[in-house]
Amino acid sequence: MDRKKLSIGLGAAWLVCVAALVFFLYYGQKYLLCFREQQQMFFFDWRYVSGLLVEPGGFSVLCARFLTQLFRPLWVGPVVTSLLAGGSAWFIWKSMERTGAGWEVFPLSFLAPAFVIVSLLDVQYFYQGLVALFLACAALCLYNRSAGKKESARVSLGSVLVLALFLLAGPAALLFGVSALVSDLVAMRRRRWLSFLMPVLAVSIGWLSVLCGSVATMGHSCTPAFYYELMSPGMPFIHNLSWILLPVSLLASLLSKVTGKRGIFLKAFACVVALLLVVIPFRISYFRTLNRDLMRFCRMEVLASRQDWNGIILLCSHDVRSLDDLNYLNLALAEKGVLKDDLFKYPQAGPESLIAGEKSESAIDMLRLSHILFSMGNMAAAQSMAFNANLAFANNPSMLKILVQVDLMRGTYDVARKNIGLLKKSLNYRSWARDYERFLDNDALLEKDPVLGNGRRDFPEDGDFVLGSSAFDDLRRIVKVNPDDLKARQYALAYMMLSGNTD
Amino acid sequence: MKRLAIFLALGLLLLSCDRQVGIDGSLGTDPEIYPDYAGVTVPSNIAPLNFSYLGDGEARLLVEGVSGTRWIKSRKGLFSFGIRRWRKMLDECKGSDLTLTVVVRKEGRWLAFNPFSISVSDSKVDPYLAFRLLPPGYQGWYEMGIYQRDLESYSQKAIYRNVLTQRNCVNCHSFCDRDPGNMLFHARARFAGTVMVRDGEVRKLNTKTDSTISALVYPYWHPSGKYVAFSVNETYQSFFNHDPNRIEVFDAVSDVVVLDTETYEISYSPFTKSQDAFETFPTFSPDGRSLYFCSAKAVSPMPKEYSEVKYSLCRIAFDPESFSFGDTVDTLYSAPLNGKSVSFPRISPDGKLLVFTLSGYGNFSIWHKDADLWAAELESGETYPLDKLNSEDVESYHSWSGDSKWLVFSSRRGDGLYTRPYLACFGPDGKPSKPFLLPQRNPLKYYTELMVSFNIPEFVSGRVKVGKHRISSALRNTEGTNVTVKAE
Repeated sequence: MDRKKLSIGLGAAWLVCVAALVFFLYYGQKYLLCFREQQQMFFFDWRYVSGLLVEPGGFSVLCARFLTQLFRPLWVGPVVTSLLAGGSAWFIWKSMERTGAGWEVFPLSFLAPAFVIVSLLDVQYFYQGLVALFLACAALCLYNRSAGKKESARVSLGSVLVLALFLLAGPAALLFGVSALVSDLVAMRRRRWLSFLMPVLAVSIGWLSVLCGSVATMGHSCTPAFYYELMSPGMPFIHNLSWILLPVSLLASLLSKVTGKRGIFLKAFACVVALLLVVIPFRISYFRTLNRDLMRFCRMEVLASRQDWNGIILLCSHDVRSLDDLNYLNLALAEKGVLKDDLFKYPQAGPESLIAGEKSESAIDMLRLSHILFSMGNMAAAQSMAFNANLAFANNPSMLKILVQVDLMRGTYDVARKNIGLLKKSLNYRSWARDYERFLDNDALLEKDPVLGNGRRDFPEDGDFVLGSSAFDDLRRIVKVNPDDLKARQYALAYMMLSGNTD
Repeated sequence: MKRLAIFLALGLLLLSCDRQVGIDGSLGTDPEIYPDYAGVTVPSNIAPLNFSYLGDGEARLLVEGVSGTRWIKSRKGLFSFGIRRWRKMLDECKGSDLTLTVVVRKEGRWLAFNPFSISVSDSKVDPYLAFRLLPPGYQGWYEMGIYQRDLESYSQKAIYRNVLTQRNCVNCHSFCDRDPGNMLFHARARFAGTVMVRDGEVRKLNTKTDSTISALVYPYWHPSGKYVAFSVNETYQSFFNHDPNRIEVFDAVSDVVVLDTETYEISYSPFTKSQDAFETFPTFSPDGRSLYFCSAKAVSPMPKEYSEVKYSLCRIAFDPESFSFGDTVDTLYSAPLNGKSVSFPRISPDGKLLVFTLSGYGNFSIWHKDADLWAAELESGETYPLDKLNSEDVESYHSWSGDSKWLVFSSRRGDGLYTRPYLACFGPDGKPSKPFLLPQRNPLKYYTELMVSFNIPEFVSGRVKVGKHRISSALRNTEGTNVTVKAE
C-alpha cells in the first residue's frame, strides 16, 4: 500500500478512535474527571512547584495537577484525557512501526492507554499515572526513532531516558526500559543484549531512591503503585494491566511477520481481530471496575461544589438511590429555600435523609457532611469537617472556601488571610479569593453579608462541643440563637417532620 | 585578567555605594518590621536574622557593630544578610550589640527610624533543631514528617516522612540529652510502633501491654540513656461550638511509666499509675534521680467535666541502679491551691530552673490561648511567669539547649492557629531575654505561606544521620520487640 495513503488512513483511524474516546468519556466519566479538579490543586507558586520537582516523579504530578485544574467545563476532562491516551497510543504505534509492525496491528497500540482509562475509574489512582504513561510512550518513540544509530548511542540514549523519566515521572522509567528492550528484541537490532541495561538501570535507580528514603518501597519505585493513593492498604491488580500490556503491544509486531506477506483480506481480518482484542477486554474490565456509587458521588459532589442545586434536584427527580443522594437532594432543596415545602415530593428515609453518618471519618463522606453542616449553620462542625476533608484530599478547593468563610465568621482574620492567599494562587478560585479579601478585618462589611453575617450569628453562645450528641441537637441551638437563619430553620422543621416529632 | 579584576572591584564599589545613603533626618518612631527582632539576644552561631520592613517605599538598613558598619539594600522590603558575612559579623561582635537602623526614602529624603539593637551572645546554641511539621490538625492528617533544621543556616531536611509508611502518624520525637544518635519517635495507625535509634541500631518496639491503657506516648529520656519515661493515655479530641480555643484535647485516663531500654521492661510506681489520678508528661531531672510529672485528680464524666481537670507538678525519687521509685511524692505546684494547670515540665540541664506551661485547665495546652510559660527555681522553689516570653496567645512546648542558656518554645502569637518556634536567651539570673522567631531566608513570605505548624521543637547537638529507609524498613518489615511489664 502507498505509504502516504497508509499514513493518512492510520491518522484518520487514530482521529476516529480519539473522537470515540472523547464521546465515551464524556458520556461515561465526565463527572468523575471533573471531580479530579477537586481532588488535587495546582498553585502558581515557585516554592510549591520546586518542592514537587525535586521529588522523583514530581514533574508528572505537576502536569497532572496543572491539567486537572482545567477540568471545570465538563468537556475538557474527556478531551484532555483522550488526547493524552490517544497521544500515548500514537507514540506506541510509531514504536511498533519501527519494530516492523504492519497496519493490521494498529489497534493494539491502544491497548495500554485503554487500561489506564480503566484505572482512572478509581479516584485513588491519580491522574499522574496517565501523564507518566504518556511520557514513557513519548520516550519510547524517541528511542525507537534513534534505532538506526550505533548500538552504543542507542543504549546511551536509552539510559539517559531512563534516568530522565525516573526523575520526571517515577517508575514509568522501568516501563520504558522494559518496552525499549522488547522493541530491540522484536526488531532484532544489533547487540540487542545491551538493551537489558535499561530495565536493570531503572530498577537500580528505583532501588537507590528507596535507599535514600525518597520512595517507600521497591514496589512503589517500580510499579504503578507509585501513582496510587499511599494511604490505601493495597492497589487492585487491574492497575498493573496497562503496564503489562504495553510491551505486549510491541510483541504484536511479531504477528506482522506472519501476516505481512499475506493478502489484504487476511490483514483486514487480523486488524479486526486486533481491534476486538482491545475493545472486548477493555469493555469487560471497564464495566467490572466501574463503581456506580462512586460515579454518582462524584456527580453530586461536583454539582454541590458548584452550587448547582437545580442540577442536583433534576438528577434526583426520578432517581434517588441512597441516603447520600437524599442528603445532597435535601441540601439542594434547603439552599433553594424549598426544603420544608418539597421534602415529601421525594422518597425520604427518616432524619438520616438530611444528614447521614455525621461522625464518619471517610474522606468522601466528609466532603458531603461539610456542605450539609455549613448549610445547616453548624459552622464550627463544618469547619472541623472541612479541615479534615481538606487534609484528606491534600487541598480541596470547596473545603478551602468553607474554611475561609468560617474563619471570617469567627473573626480569625489572620487564618482566613492564609487560606485566601492560598486560593489566590489557584487558577479557578483566585477571583473568589480576591472578592473575599474585602471582608478581612472589616466586621461592619462582613456582618452585612448574607452568608457571612448570618453565619457569624449562628454560633451558639455556649461552650459545648459540636456533634457532642447529634447534628440535630446542634441545630436546635443554632435556631435558638439565630432564628433568622432560614436554612437552619428549614432543616429543623424537616427534621421534625421526618422524625414524626411535631411538638 | 587585570582588567577583569578592576572591573569587578569597580562593580562592587558601585554596588556598595548604591546601598549607602546619607541620612537626612529622623522619623522618631520605631520601624514596623517582621519578624520583630528588635532588642533580641542571639547565639553567636545562629543563621542570619533576615527581616522585612513592612512600610512603603525604598529602604536601607544600616548595621553598626564593633567590626564596623554595613549598608544593606532592601528587595521588596526584605533585608537579607549573606550567610558568610553574617557569620563573620557575629564572630566579631560576640558579647556586644549590633545596632540596626532602618532608613526609608520619603519625598526624596532619607529618613531614619529609631535604631534597635540585636545582642550577640558569647555562647552558641545547639546546632540543630528537630520538630514535626503538620497542619494544626483536628483529627485527620495526610502528609507529615519530623525534620531537622540547621540553626547555623537555613538548611532543613527530613529525619522521617510519613509518605514512606502509608501516611501514618509519626509523633513524639525525643532525644537522649540532645544526642542525635539516641532518639525515638512513635508511629501510629499503619505500621504502628515506637522507633528507637540507639547507637546506630534502629529497632521497632511494640509498646502496648495488657497492664497499660495504651501504647507508650509522651517520652522523656533518662540522662543515662538506660531509661525513658513515658505516659500512657486514652486521649480524645472535641471541637468547640464557640470557644476561642477551638479544640479541647483531654485524657480520660493516663499514667506514667518508665521503660528500661536494655530489657524492654516497663515499671511504674503506684503514685504514677493510679485510678484516682491522671498522670502524664514525665520528665527526669538532669541527675536522673528524680522523676517529675503532672498529676490531676481523676474527673468523671469526661468530656463534660473537661475544665475541672487541673494538673499539679509532682516529683518522685527514682533509683536508676535498682530501677525503682521513691515512697513519697512531692508537689511542687499545686493545681487545687492555685487554680491553674501545669503541663510540659522541663528542667534546664544545669538543674537550676524548671520551665513549665501553665493554663487554666487541662493538659493539651497548645490549644489553650491562656497558656503561658512559667519558671520554677528548683533551689528556692520560687515560681514566676516568664513575662518576656509570653503573649496574648499560646506559649507552650519548650526545650532547653545543652548549656541551659537557650530555650526554644512554641507560640501561636502570629495568627492564633499556626505554631511557630521562638528562641530565647536565659541569663544567669534565670530571666529570659526577648524571644526571636526561628530565622528564615525570607521569613515574611515563608511564615505567611507556610500551612503547617512546628510541633515539639527540640534542640539536637548534631545532625541525625540515621537514614529514612532504615526507619521505614524497621516499621514495615520487622515484627518489633514487645515491651513487657517488669515483674514485681
